[in-house]
Amino acid sequence: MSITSVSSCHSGPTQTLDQASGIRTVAVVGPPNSGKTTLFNRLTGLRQKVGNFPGVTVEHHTGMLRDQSGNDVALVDLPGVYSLTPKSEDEKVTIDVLNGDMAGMPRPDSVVLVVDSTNLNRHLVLTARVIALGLPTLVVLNMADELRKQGGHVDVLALAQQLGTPVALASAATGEGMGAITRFLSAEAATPSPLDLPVVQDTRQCREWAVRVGLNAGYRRPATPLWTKRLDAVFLHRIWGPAIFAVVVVAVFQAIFLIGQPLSNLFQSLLDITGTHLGALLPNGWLESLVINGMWKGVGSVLVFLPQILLLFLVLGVLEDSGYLARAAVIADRTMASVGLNGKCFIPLLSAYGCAVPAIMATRTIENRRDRIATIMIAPFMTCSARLPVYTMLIAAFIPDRKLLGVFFGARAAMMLTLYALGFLMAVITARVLKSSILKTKDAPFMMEMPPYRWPTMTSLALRLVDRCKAFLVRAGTVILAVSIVLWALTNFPIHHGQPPAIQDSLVAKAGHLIEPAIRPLGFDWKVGVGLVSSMAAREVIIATLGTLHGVDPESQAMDLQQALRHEMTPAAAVALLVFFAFAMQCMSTMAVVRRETNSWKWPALQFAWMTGLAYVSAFVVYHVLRI
Amino acid sequence: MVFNFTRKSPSSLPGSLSELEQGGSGIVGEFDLPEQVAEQLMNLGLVPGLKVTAAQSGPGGDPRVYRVDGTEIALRGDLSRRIKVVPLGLDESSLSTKSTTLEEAARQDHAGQPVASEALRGHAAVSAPNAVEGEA
Repeated sequence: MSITSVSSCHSGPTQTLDQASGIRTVAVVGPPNSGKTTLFNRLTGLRQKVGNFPGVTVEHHTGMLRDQSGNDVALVDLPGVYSLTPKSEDEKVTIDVLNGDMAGMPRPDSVVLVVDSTNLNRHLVLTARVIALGLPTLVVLNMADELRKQGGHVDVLALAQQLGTPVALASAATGEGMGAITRFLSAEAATPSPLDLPVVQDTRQCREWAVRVGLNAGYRRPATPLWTKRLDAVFLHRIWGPAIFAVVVVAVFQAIFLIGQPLSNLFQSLLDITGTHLGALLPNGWLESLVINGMWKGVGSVLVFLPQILLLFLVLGVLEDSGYLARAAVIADRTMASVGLNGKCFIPLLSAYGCAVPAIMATRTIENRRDRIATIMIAPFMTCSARLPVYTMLIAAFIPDRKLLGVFFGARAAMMLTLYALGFLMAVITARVLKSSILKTKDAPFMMEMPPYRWPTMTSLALRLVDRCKAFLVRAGTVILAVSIVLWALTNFPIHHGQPPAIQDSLVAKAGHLIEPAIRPLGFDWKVGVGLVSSMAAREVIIATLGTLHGVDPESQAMDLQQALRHEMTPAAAVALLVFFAFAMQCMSTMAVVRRETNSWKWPALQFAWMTGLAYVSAFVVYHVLRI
Repeated sequence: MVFNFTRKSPSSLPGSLSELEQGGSGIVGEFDLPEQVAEQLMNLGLVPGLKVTAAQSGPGGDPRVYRVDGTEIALRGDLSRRIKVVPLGLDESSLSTKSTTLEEAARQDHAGQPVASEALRGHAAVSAPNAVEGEA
């Protein structure tokens, strides 16, 4: 048996079932890269939801689990921590929750501490600190399979005796030891006996204690796997390192087009067929118009990008889980340093290519506040997946499909890469400006753990995609649906003699004409104007908007959106629109998260003014240069 | 370039981590760093008394990855220059005659003990008084 029960089950009140919900709460704690989330995923599977702690922006997952006696247990996955000194916001949240100081969250009844068994000495330091909190604690020595494979060893029973708390050897990747964890979750867990713990404040002494405890428990650390050294020798090679880095970055984007595009096309035809069948079920008239032209076309035009977005998150997920992303940060550090940032900022910035919102949340790992704000300020310049639909559609409509470098690189991909580069360039310039003015810092220390290379597990990747998928569908089903309906209404009112108006006489045309003078210099007509306004909700909404507008316009009703756009826009205006989208801050969700993360309106306001001003000026220049 | 053997930077400690060549090892010594930074480093696993090995680096030698007791940590030169290290793999004569526990540890390591236990022993050497008390 790998769990030792602790006899000295003194006063420690296990508040079982005395909470309002009647559900026991168990916090899952552990250092980053310990496989904590993998374990959490294995235990809870799809029965989890994302939440935010009140007042702070740290996300946490809560999952439900049925214990052996059939009772529900709520498992809370807390942010990964290296220590229990509240330095970053993540650590503060974890400490507050563990101390019961987090509003809206009861103090957990017990703790599952997940540490990496292949690196026990270091993690015993954190273990001592967690045990010292006095909550019933199960120490899970994760990655048991790796420990054994690489010739390591630990005597679980001896360790449990020394720590005064149950210890389980497990592997979240293979499922080993899950039974022991479930048993702990099922039992009325005992508070750890007051141990002769080391001076937990002093890390050095604590580490010495850890080494002794490890020795007494027969701990033998496995040798660093040869292939981690070998892979490092390649990925951090003087010449190969940066070369592979460049190949990876290009491959990520190329994959989105070579693989993602056909998937999206397939999805598009599925949506079209469904739409036709749906239309046939409805009586002709305004209801059909609302459902098909308003809702289905609007939502569908955004939904079709789901495959591409999921593909991007899949690739980013593989890069992150495999450990490569940390090496990429080392490669990128020099370059980042030249604009006053560091390699750690690279990871949030790379994930900003997926979406700025999680990227801005990911900046919490940057300890230096000024560096963090600078990263937040430039993250939305990275080409997020919401820009992708806009780019893809406009490029497909206006850029000829010419080959530049054989099959590997065409004119469309080149245009796309240019737009990505433009965003990146502007981010660099912005960072430069900020870091040499209002966000100047003395060099902040750069230290970063390099996680060992690991095969990404299917479960983690799948759950990550499910997460993204949910978020995207929720957005499509709420914001984008609402905008589509409002737009449909605006295009179908005021009603003349029981008939919807001609598009030129509709409310939306009036609104569009109102803003047209402001955007005329950029070569945009009123329809694009409406699109720009509605895309404030989310960038990709402009496609839904244009889809709806052209869908109800008799002149372009028969055409697909690309034909309709070619019919109404000059190529110069289309490129200007692309550039506008590359720079403009058109995302309420991003602004909201910037407001929350910086805790001030100053930064989102500054960001909005700077980005949108830049977008306007650049689009103006591009339009007038291309027209010549 | 950050990676060099001539101590150009005035802030560089003599015998600092930044002077380890790729593949070179040493025993971590004192930190000439603010308390908070030192604490962060120790929480990441870089603790005085442990054996550290310099591994690959980013382009231009900075930041460099260091292996210490099963953990890999990337550090920029501005930090590694301020972390003292007693190099291993040097001649006995090149070590200072002053016999500190750290250097004893270094000598023991030099004597060719099994790699897996080096870090532990480095530690035990530093914490020797404690360890004796604990076991007494």
